[in-house]
Amino acid sequence: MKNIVKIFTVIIALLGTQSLHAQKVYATKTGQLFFNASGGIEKIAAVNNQVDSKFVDATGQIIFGVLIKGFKFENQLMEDHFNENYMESTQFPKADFKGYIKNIKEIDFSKDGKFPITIEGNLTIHGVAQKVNTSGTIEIVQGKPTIMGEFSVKIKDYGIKGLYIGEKIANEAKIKVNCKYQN
Amino acid sequence: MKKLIYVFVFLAIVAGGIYYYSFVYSKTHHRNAQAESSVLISSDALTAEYQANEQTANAKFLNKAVEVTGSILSISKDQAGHTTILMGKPDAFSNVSITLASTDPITHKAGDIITVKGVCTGNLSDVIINEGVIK
Repeated sequence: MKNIVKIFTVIIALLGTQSLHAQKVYATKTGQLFFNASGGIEKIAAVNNQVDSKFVDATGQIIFGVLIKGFKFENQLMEDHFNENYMESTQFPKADFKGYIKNIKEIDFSKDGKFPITIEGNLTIHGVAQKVNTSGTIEIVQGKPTIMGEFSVKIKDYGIKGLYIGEKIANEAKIKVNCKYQN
Repeated sequence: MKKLIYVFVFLAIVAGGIYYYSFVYSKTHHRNAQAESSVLISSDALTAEYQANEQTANAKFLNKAVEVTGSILSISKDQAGHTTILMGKPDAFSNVSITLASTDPITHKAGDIITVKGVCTGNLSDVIINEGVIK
């Protein structure tokens, strides 16, 4: 009887150890997000270097958070208009994405290489959430993943109003993500 | 006729001024938070304000020049090469994450107590300070 108890104890301990290793959370606070809504000659583009993101390798659950006032434009006046007239960033200071990497099981985190990924979730900008489906790439270098992706958002879908949308400002903004994660 | 010329010259000067301000001046002159008067606060008090009520904290600090003092937890670089400093307590739920304006390396190390002036852009998992300069 004592032996059976011992065997069970060892099995439970082993399972416990396995479950500890079964899930890994990768995170960054300094990911990059590029925004481009150039609709005419004038370049309307910005970068944010403080993207906060986490993902879980076992489930594919992924989140991105970004502060609107963290977007830097070449042109200060454009940055001011972006914050005050379009994004209303005092009222809506954050944008976020919460979703899943659908094909996370196909990624081998132990091998260096590039893997295509599909991501699905909800993108909240300007206080409005919309479903987003997009594809991208995950690159593993010495166990550290980098997620890269590009997708477009219809500006008016997020309740963003203002002059020049559809003219100097494109109807669709291109969003490019480049996040190097630590483990 | 003379009046018409004056009106034309006036309009040309106004249009030139608008163009210069919008496309030349605004490209070369960015906000300089270092020249602005700032709110003085410790990193612990700043994170405590954001943890207590984010909306109230945003009303006080969002987009304002802030001079924050605290202990360095770690120093790193962001993907664009700027130096980043995590300031606060090792066991805290949230800290202050600062991106310096410069890409130059710094001589400070973890454990040092420093003061950084920058712009508060809000709160994610940490309170974010941008365009920081060590005082």
